[in-house]
Parts: sequence; C-alpha cells; structure tokens
Amino acid sequence: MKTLLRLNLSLVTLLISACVTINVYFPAGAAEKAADEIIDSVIKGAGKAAPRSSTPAPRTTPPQSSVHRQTNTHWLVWLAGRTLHALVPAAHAQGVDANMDVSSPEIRAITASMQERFGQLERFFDAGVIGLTTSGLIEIRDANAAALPDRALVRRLVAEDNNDRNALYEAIARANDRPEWEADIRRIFAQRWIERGARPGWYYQDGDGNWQQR
Amino acid sequence: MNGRIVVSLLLCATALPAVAIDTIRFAAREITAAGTRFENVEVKLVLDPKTGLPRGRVSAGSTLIGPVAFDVALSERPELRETTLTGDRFAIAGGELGIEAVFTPSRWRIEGRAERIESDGLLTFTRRYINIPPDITAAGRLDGLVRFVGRPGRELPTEAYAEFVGKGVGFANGEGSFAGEGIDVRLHLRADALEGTAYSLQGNLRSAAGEALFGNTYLRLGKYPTSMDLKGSFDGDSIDIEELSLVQQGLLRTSLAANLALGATFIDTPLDPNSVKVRRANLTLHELRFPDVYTSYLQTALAGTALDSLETAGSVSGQLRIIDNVPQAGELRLADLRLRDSKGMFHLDGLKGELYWTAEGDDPAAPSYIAWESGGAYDIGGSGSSMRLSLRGATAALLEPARMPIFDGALNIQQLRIVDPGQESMQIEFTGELEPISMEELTKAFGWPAFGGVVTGRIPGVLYRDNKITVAGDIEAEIFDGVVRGSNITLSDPLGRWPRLEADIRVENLDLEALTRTFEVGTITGRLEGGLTNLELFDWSPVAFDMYLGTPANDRSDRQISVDAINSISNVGGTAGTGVAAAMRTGVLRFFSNYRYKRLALRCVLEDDICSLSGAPISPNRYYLLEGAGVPRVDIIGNTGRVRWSELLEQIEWQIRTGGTFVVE
Repeated sequence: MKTLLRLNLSLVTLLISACVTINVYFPAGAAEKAADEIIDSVIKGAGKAAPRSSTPAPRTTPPQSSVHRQTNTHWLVWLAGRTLHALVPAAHAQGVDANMDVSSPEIRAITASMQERFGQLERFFDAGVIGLTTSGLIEIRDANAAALPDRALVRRLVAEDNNDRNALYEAIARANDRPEWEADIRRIFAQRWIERGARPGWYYQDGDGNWQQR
Repeated sequence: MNGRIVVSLLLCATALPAVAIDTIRFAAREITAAGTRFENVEVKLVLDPKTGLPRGRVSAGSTLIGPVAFDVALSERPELRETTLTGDRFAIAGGELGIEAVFTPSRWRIEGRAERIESDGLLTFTRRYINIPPDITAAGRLDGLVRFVGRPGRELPTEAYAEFVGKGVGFANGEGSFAGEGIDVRLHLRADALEGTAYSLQGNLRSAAGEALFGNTYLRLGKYPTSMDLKGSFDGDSIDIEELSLVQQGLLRTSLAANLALGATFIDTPLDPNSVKVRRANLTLHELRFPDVYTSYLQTALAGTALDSLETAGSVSGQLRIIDNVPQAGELRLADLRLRDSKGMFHLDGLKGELYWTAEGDDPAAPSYIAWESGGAYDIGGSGSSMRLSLRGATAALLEPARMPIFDGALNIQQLRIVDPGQESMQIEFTGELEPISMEELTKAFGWPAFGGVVTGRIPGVLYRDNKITVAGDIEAEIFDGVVRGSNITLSDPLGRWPRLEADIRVENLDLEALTRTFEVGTITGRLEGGLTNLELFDWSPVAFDMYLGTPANDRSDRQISVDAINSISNVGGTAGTGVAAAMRTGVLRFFSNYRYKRLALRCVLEDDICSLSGAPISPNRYYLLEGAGVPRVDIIGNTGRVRWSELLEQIEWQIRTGGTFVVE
C-alpha cells in the first residue's frame, strides 16, 4: 500500500509538471509604485540633477504562477491542482507587493533627461497647450494657446519627450527582464501621470481620446 | 439675367431726359456679373430736381461681401458718351467700401476701393473661388482696390486687377499648426484677357514683417523679408506658370515653372487645391542658405533624432522635375556645407557634392559624388574623403570602393547600399575593412593614458534595419602584445537619443607588464586573458557585462607582482584597503618589492550599477584575486561581493589621477 502511494505521488508530481502552465502576472501594484517614483522625480526634481537611487532594489523573481487544469486527469492530480489553485491568490498578492526595478542606469539617465525637459514643458501643461495621452505619451492639444514662436519649440519638446517616454517604458521592462511587460508599464504610467502627475487644470485624454481637464 | 440689362436700363434713363420719367426702380432676384452672383438686387433712382441727374440707392441682399446698400449718383459727359455711377462709401466688413462704375458704348469699368476692411471678409470672398478649409480664420485689416474692365457684348471682363495692403494681419487654422501674426503684406494681382477665354497673369506679394508657422516651419518674416512674383497665364481649367519665384532674403531663393490642371474652372465652383494636378513642374532651388534653412525649415521636423541640434553652414542648390504629380528627377549641389552636432556626436566639414537622382523605371541618373575635407564621430577624427554613388528610386548605392581615413588608418568601404533613406523602413547594407589604426591616436582621442598597438578588422557585413545595426565579423585591436577582439556587435537606435551597443569582447594573451606600466597601478608581469561577455553600453556608458580577466591556464611566463599592484588589487577586492601596503612595508616583507604569483583572477558581473566581484573560488564567500607562489607567499583574498560600479569607477579614476589609495566599502 505504501509503495502504491509513493508511486501514486511520484506519478502525480510528474503529471502536475506535465500539465501546469505557468503564467507570469504583471505586478501592477509594484509598477504603480515605480511609476510614482519616476513621475515624482521628473516633476519635483525638474531642473535639479537626477537623484542617485538609494539601495539597489533586490532583483524580483516573479513567483506568480497559475495552474490550468487539464480535463481527463487523475483525481489526485485534480486535487493537487485545486490545492495549487488555492495557493495562487497568495502568490499573486506577493507579486503585487514585489518591487519593480527602476534603478538601472538607463532608467536614471532617461529620467534625468525628462526632468531637465520638464522645466520647459511645465508651462505648456499649465496653459493647456499639451496634454497627457492614454498611451503614456504627451500630445499637442491646442497650439493656439501658445505664442507663435513657442509653437515650434513645443513641437520639438513633445517629440523629444515622447522619445524619452518610449525609451523609458522599454528600459523598465528590460531592467526587470520582462520585455513583454512594456505595454503594461506604459498603461500604468499613463494612468499614474493622469492621477498623480497631472496638476489641476492640466489636460488628459480619456478612454475615448477626448480631452478632459483635471 | 445678367449685368448688361441693368446697364442698358440706366442708359435709357439718362439718355432721354426729356421723357417725363422721375423714378426708375429696377429689381432682380439674381444677377450674375463678371462671374459673380448677386441676389435681391434693387436699384432705385430719382431725378435730382437741382442737377437734373438721377441719384438713388442700390441695395443687394446678398453679395460675396455680405448685404450691401449705398447711395449712388449718376453723372455723365455726353461728349465722351460716358456715364459714371458713383457710390457713396458704405460700411462693410468692419471697414468702408466705395464703388464707382463708368460706362461708355465701347467699355465699362467697375472699381471698388476698400478701406480697413476685416481680412476675414476677404477670406470669405476668396472662399467663393477656392476651397479653403473651414477652420482657417484671418484677423487684421486690409486696404484694397479691385477693378474690372470689360466690353459690352463680352461676358467676362477684359482686365481684372486687385491690390491689397495689410498691416499686422494674421491667420490661423483650428489646431494652431498653421498660423501667422503681425504680418505686413502687399499683394498685387492682374489678369488681362488674351485670345478666347485665356488670361495672362501677373502678380507679386511682399512681406517684411511678422511671423508665420507652417507645421514644422517657423518663419520670421522680419528677419527674412519675403517676396513672391508670378508670371503666367490661365485658361479655363488650366494654369500655366511661366515663373513663380520665392525669395526669402538671407534664407532661400527658389523658382517654379509649372503647368497645372485645376480639375474645374473656379468661376463655376470653388477650386479644390487638393484636386489640382501638376502636369509638369520644374522647381529650382537657386540657393538654400545654412544655418537659416536648418533652423527655420528643418530643425523642428528633426526633433528627437540625432540631427536635431546641428550647427550648420554653407549652402545647397538644386532642381526637381515633376510630371503628372510624380517626382521624376532631381539634383542637389552641396557647397561647402558644415554639419556639426552640438553634442559632439559627429561632424563633417567642407562637404561638397553633386547628387543626381531619377525615379525608379527612369533612365539612370549621372553618377553622384560627395566629398568632405574632414569628418569624425565623437573624438575619432577623420581627414577628407569622397564617395561616388548612384541614386535611383528609393536606393542609394556606392559605385566604387571608398576609403575613409581615420587617424593614421582608414575604413575601407567595399559596398554600401541604402534603401528608403530617411524613412522608418530605412535599411543599410555595408561591407568593409579597417586598415590598421594606431592605438596611440585613439587613446589620445578618448583621453586614456597613451599606449601602443593597432586596431584592425574585417567587417564582412553590417546591416542596419529596424533601427538597429548588426555587425557580422570581428573588430580586432592588437595591443599590449595580445589581441582584444569585439564580436557580436549590435547598435540599437544609432541615430536616436538613446543608443545601445551590445558586444562580446575577448581578450587574449595581453602582456601585463606593458598594461600595468601604462595605467600606473604598480607592476605585474605575466599574461592576461578573458573578456567581457554580454557587454551593454547605454548612451555609451557600460550598464551590463560579465567580465573575467585572469592568468591563462597554461601560462609559462614569469609572473611577478609589485607591492603597489598588490595594493591596487586588494582595494578592488575589498580587503584591508590602505592597511595592506603599510603592513607589507614592515617586518620581513619590507625586503621584498616583488612577489611571485600563481594566478590572477578577477570577475565582475555588472548589472544595475552593481558589480558582483569574484575571482578564483576558495569557499562560497571567499575567493582569490591573486594566488601567490613561492616564499614569501602573498595571497589576495576577496570578500566583498558587491560594489557600486559608478563609485568604483570614480575611485579608480581618482586613484589613477592622484596615485593615491582608495577604499571600497
């Protein structure tokens, strides 16, 4: 009987490893924290040098996984699957608390560049000339609100800043060894820029692409 | 109904004063005169009892300039059989307009003089003839004169003339990307009837004050007084431009000869500029002057690229031929052009060239060439060189191998092909080789301590595609009696703000004595091998690599290390620091200035600005950086696992500069 159980267990292990699909969840909570940190340093540190990050964030190993149960499996496998399922929310919660690494030299260099530019962009945000988009970029909303000689400058700044923003999202995904997270990181930054970065009076695009004012 | 009927009625009224007519009233729901429609027109005349001549009031419910109503008086000079109708000046479009019409049996002339009318009113008037996007508005006031001259029996006028003078006028589209402010402008336009329905055209426009923005182009008209001159003819739906010249003083001189098909005569329906077809056109760029053309026309469009902060000088001229809306051939002459990146990324001086291009499917153009007096990237300097190219369709290709001198060596380009230049889909293929370049020059350029050796390389293939350069083949540097070889080299975003270089670097058989002498970190003899795998430079600074440098496995050379060198290595390894040198200068050890060693091993895995140090492992947390040999034996054992890379660099730099010691905590 004991031998049978042992055999059964090893079979179960084998079957579990055969049928489990690991999905890595995007740690949205950690990404929000990371976005806030960068947005704050761009806005508040504008004109100053980029702050050197404190202790390096420990590399986050993505522990989150989910189990997809395959039909037609042994009941023991099914039970084990259920058990793992029950454990998954905890694993996911752990993922939310995990850090997202934003300390790489790339991220610091790009943040410093955005910080420097923000000193010039700020008044155009205030005047409603530019606004924040849902794709984590900025766009000219109403060039008429800028004096004529400023309009070419705004165009240039917007192109440069979007260049930095795109590079930033890529660099964060890269620093966390998850290039596939880039779109999610972009989405989180878009949200956080609107919710945290935007000051009253600033414009942002809603889900339908219409301009709204904070 | 048309205008002539009105006229003849008026003539009846004046030519027969004896008949007891004291009031004439003429009303028409719609009149078309000189291609212009008037609605609800009413003319009411009474005979002035004092002068015996008619006077009265003309009104129209709708004209191109809105409803009008004004008093008129008729006068006549019977000897010339001339009747003049003079309108009182009346308020219109925020200003005033006076109308005078003169009629003789052989000729008529209608003239309107406008003063201080809103330019938006003129825009409304122009919309009758040309489709102007509805979001475009105009501001400011204009003075103007419009005159039509014609003959009875001929529906269209024989002469049309318009002139407008505006001060401080402006325009804008809805989104503000197309706008002008404070513009002083003077416009003349004249059309004279030729055979049939044809007219000759002449006109000019002058502006020397104000500013304008056209998308990415920002023009200061005050700095660059602008004038346009037109000579051509017009017939029905076709315009023949003999010459349209545009001169912006200090900026550019261009002229255009063209034949345009308008799609419809704009008298019947407003002309849609988008439907205008260029049957043939020849655009000549007589002179584009730098840096002004760059700052006014190009810089904003290039924002976010490596070309967005250039210091430029020189001039460009050229030609472009268009047939049926499609460019067919072009040429460009570069005269003493200078392009210098203000961030120091690259420079080209004394750039000259003649470029000839033809469309795909056309006969091949004459060979093009470019040549320059000096050029370089970062601090790597190159002297003059030239290239012969063929330009056809969307492809530029090198016609014969070219040699670009770099310091005392050169880059020999065997093949170069650029497809879709300037487009997102741009692709570049390149093969070439490096003629040995001496390290002495390179190290000087990079600000390193000078050392000997050469850099060479065969580059069997370089491909630029999807914003990334991939190098097939190795680049080698023969230095310190050994070889440093770079392979698997890729460079992403080479023309953008954030270039990223990836490569593997292999180090073989370096002579440590020569190396340590150069960098003044004490003396070590022996050989060194290893390399940097997965090296990544972001914006030209290292952000990741796995570096290993150590004594080759079968090394037979004499391996000795000086006290100073021991001190330098122990500092990197995080051992006692300043204490090491002091300790070694006491006791028996003070009699030894050099020690023999078995092997040297240093590994640094850089990631996130942290260098994880290790060497030849002893136990999980301990490793040899230097394993000694003989008696007395000195081992350097490392214990610090992680060092901040940026601090390490600062300290090494400081150490090299001052010869002092440093501590890693």
